[in-house]
Parts: sequence; C-alpha cells; structure tokens
Amino acid sequence: MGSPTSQEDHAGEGPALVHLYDAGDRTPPHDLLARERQVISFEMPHTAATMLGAVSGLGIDQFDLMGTSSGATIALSAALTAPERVRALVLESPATTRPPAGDPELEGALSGLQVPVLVVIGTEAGPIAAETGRTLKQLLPNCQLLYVYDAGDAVAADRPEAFAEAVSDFLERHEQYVVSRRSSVLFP
Amino acid sequence: VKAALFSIVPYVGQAEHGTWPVPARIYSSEVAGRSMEMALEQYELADQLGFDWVTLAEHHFAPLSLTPNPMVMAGAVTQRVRRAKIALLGATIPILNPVRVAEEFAMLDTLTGGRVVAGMLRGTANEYVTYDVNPAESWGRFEEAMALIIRAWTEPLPFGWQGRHYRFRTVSIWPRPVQEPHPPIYMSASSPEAGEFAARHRVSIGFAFTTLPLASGAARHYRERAAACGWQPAPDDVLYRVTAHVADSDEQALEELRASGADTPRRGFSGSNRPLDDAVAGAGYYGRDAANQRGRIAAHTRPIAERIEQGALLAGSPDTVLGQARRIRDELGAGILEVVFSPVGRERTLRAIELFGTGVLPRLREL
Repeated sequence: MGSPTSQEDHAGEGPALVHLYDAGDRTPPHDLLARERQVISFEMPHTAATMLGAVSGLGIDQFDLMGTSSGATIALSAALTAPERVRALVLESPATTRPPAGDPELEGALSGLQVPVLVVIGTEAGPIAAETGRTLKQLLPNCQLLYVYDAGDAVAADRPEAFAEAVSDFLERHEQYVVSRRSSVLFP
Repeated sequence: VKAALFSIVPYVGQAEHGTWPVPARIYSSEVAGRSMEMALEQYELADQLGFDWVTLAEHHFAPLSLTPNPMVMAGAVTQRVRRAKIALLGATIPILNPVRVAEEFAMLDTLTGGRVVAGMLRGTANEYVTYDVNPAESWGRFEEAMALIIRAWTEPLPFGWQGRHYRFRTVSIWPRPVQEPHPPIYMSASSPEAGEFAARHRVSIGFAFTTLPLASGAARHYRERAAACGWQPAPDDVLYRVTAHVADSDEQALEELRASGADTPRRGFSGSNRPLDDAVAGAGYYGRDAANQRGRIAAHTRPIAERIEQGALLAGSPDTVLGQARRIRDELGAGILEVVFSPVGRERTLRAIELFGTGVLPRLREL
C-alpha cells in the first residue's frame, strides 16, 4: 500500500470528488470533471481506510466518490464504511473479484446503502461487465445503470465527453438526473 | 425458398408525380381509405394462400406509399393476417426515436405471438428531409440506433444510454418482444458498407430496388465478410424483393402490364427531386459505391423486357415466373423471395397473387 500523499493529485475548485483508479487505467477526463468541482485522485492500491484517512487529512468531511475498475470495489467499501461522508458514488466498469450476489452479509449491507450510486458500463465491455452492473443495480436501493455507447472497459478514456457529462449531471442531481433539463427551443 | 408479399400501400387515385414532396391538392380521403383496404385485402389473401411473410415499408410525403408509419398499418395487419410473419422493412431508424421503435416492434411481436420481422433501414435519401435529420449522420445514427433498440429489447433492468446521437437517462420498455432473444433483424445490404456491418453484427439482409447482378455481387461481399467474422449466413438471411405480375399466359401477363403503364414507370422518391438527391449524395449518404447506389434505382424505370432480364421484374405464366424465380435463387442464393405485385387493377392483382400462391409458391418451396 502506497503513501496517499505521494499519489494524490488535485484539480479544479468546488465540491470535492475523490477518484480511485489504477495507474494502469488510461487517462481519466479529470479536466472535464474539474470544471465545476475539485477532483482529488488517488492511484491504487488503497484500502477504504487509507483513502478515507487521506481525505480527512485534507480537511474534507463530505465528498463525492468515484472508483474505476478495482478502485470501484474500494469506493463501494468506503461508502459502506462511512456512508455519512459520501454524497454520491460513481462506479466505472466495477471489477468485482468477488461477485456481491451470493454473499448474504455483503448483499445485506449493499441493500441498506442509501447513497445514490451511478454504475457506468461501456457497451463494448463484454457480458461480464454488464452482468456486474446488473447485479449492483439489483442490490443497491438507489442505483442508476448507465451504458456508454461504443466504449469498452475504459469508459472515461474511450468517451470522455459522454462520461463527464453523465457523471457531472448525476453528481449534481443524483436520481433526479433522469429528468431532462435540455431545452428543445430552437428559436424564441 | 420462402415467399413474402410486399405492398408499399400505394395511393390508387390520381396524384401529381415527378416531384417530391408531392402536394396534396387533388387528394381524396376516400381513395386513400380504399387504397389501404386494398393492401389489407392483399395481405389477407397472401396469408390464406400460404405466403410465409407479408411485408410493409416506411416512406414519406408521396402517394407512392401511404404507410409513413408502417407500425400503425402493421397493427391493422395483425388483425387480418393470422399465420404469416409480419415484416417491417423497415423502420427507417436513423430518423426515428429508437426507444419508440423498440416499443412498437415489441407491441407488434406481442400482438402476433412472435411473428414480427424487424427491418432496420436507412431509407431513401429523401427521408432525411422528412424529419430534418442530417444525412451525413445517417450511418452513425443507424449503427447506434440498432444497438440501442437491441439493448432496449433485451436489458432486464432499467438502464440509461449515453450515446453519440442519442441520450436516454432511463429506459425499460413494456411490452417486451415475444421472440428470444429478440425478433430477427433485416437490413439493406446493397452498399458495401452495409454488407460489412451486417456481417459483423450477424444481421440478415434484404435487397430492394436493385438488379440481380448488383444484388448478387453485394450478397457475395456479405457472405465473404460473414465468413471472415466466423459465421455462414443461411438462405433465409438473404431476401430479394422483386416486382411481379402473373397471368394465365405469358402474353396475357405482358399485355396487362403494358395496359397498366408499367412500361413507363414513375420515379417515386429522391429520383423525382434531383437537387435534393444531389445534396444528400454530397453529404456522403451513398458511401463509397455511390454511383452504383444512385444508379440501381434508375434501373427500375427501364422497359419491361430489360427489367425482366435484370431480374427486377417477374412476368408471365406461373411456369415462366417459377423459372425466373429459380434464376434468382441460383444466382443470388436468396432464401426469401419478396414479391410486389404490379398495380394492374384490383381484380387482376388479386388474380396474380392467387396464381402465384397456387401455381408458383408450392414449387418455389422445393427449390
């Protein structure tokens, strides 16, 4: 486990978004997400405890939390550990080394998690990714499942604008993001 | 070889022609109602005679076709056609709301107990003007719309879609299709790009408004690409649409065709509006084989004998027509022959359908 201070990175201003991702992940669109928020990214490996401690060390109590691949597993674990600190959770291509279905204790914990969750899956990522997304959607009481068209496992790198728009809107409005605010007026 | 009966549901009265869109100054609602009833009568007869499919299509703003929304017509057809599959070739998906298309196909599949064939087409060039869609984005919208429709049919949980051309925050369609995993999909594969896409996605193909030599070349391309993708299309994966008139003798069939004006056919859609077609072509709509794609529709305005030679028209006695159909099977390998019966007047057309159903169809199956 690495030292969080050596691996964290900051961008932008506004509400805090903590992102847990693998060094091997292709570049996430932090520039797009940082337009309206402060993005604090941590390269894996981390545990929920080391990440939560590092964020506290920055003087941040509540934050949005995003995890990519194995980072999603840790992000979910952190939300279960400290749900009062996580405003909303984004899981990009969540890698579940241990599928949540079939583990009664974990299933029980997930079904009690009231944090709004957005699970983001690429349409080209294959059936296991989609099945993981469905499992989470069924277990979590407040979960949106989003397919990003023509993206693989590296959703944010493959379709950065599409990813950032959905994530930003979800972090702002949570489950109410299903209601369109896009104007259809062409000419007044 | 299976047989389908296609009707474009033409307006059977007087109308202006040689232009698109077509003004409705001399429109008669009575004639339009009668036109729709005549098509329903053809579908019903085809079903009784044992045709495997009846087929509808989507076209806009012209008397050549009164089914701008073929889903609505198909709803009526479900109440008249009890056995045959009901094919929609197509929905012109790039100009429509894909979620709505998924819902409508699922409704029809439910109403028919799983007898819907889901055509997904790009449409003729003029359709892009109909709903103000940029033809330069036709392929991008087509590919994404098909992916979204399949997802809407098969995804068991509510999902959001973040596409390039389409965005839906939550989708969960009811009813669901009856057929598992979803209704069979057919698309046009006249252009090389389309054949490659169909091969890659294991989608069946259909040819319309083309000639036998052009279709045979395109079908070869599709099969080669399918083989490269590790699969082999079945005969039913290839459909060929052809105009036909059948009478008791060859002479009678040709005479009835000539009397109906079939020797001087009219251009219906984009061909009637050259500036529009040029603009759509300029947007890249026709792809890398543009000259052939634009030319193949013009082949249908050739004289009768030439169209028979080109495999664009079947005409004659049942025996003659069977021979012409055999040639299509041999050269193209199409497992589904889709027949548009020539508009030679209500009684003669019904007679032609009956002759085809009794004199051609049983022997066609054995080819």
